[in-house]
Amino acid sequence: MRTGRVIGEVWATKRIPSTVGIKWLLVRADDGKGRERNELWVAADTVDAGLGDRVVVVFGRAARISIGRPLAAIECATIGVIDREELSQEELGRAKLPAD
Amino acid sequence: MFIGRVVGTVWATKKTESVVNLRWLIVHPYNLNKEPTRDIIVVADTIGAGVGEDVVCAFGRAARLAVGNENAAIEAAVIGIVDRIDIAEPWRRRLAEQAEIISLSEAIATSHDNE
Repeated sequence: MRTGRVIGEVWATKRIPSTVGIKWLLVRADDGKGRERNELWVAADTVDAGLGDRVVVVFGRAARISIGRPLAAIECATIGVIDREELSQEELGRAKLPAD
Repeated sequence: MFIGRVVGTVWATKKTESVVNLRWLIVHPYNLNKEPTRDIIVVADTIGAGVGEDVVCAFGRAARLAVGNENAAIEAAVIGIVDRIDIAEPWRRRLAEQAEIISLSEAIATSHDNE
């Protein structure tokens, strides 16, 4: 699971039938400390996350299970809106992740 | 899943059996990474996306479910053709500043404001 911020919404009329009725959010990954990373995901919304919310995102089968459709053509979903997050002092003091 | 722009089509006559009836597109993901391996992705298409359109694609088993054949030898497929992308301020502005990919900056320029 990863964390990210909902920065937008994606609308599509023509879709694979198993994805009809699913709301797609554009999520930008962050590094766990709220700093943006250069990854964008399209995630199915299961928790009614709003623009600007920080969310927990799951991938693969977990995403299909979270939307309650194990056979839908979906592999990424938001499963929670983050209210609060605590990190150790050590982690907070660490430099940016190497991949950035 | 990821969002990307269709930039081309791939044809292949000699294919593995499970993918014979599939159409392949070249998609340029809307990704701010500059890693070359992610620059272009070949995706299977069953809903008729064309060059210049923005699409949402899925990887892995979701892709095989999308083409309706869980035994197809593919790992990426189109699952939707994008009508509109709404990116809210201030992220829209920040993305535009950081976008390296021309198609992404175009998409942001044409995306609607979402208050």
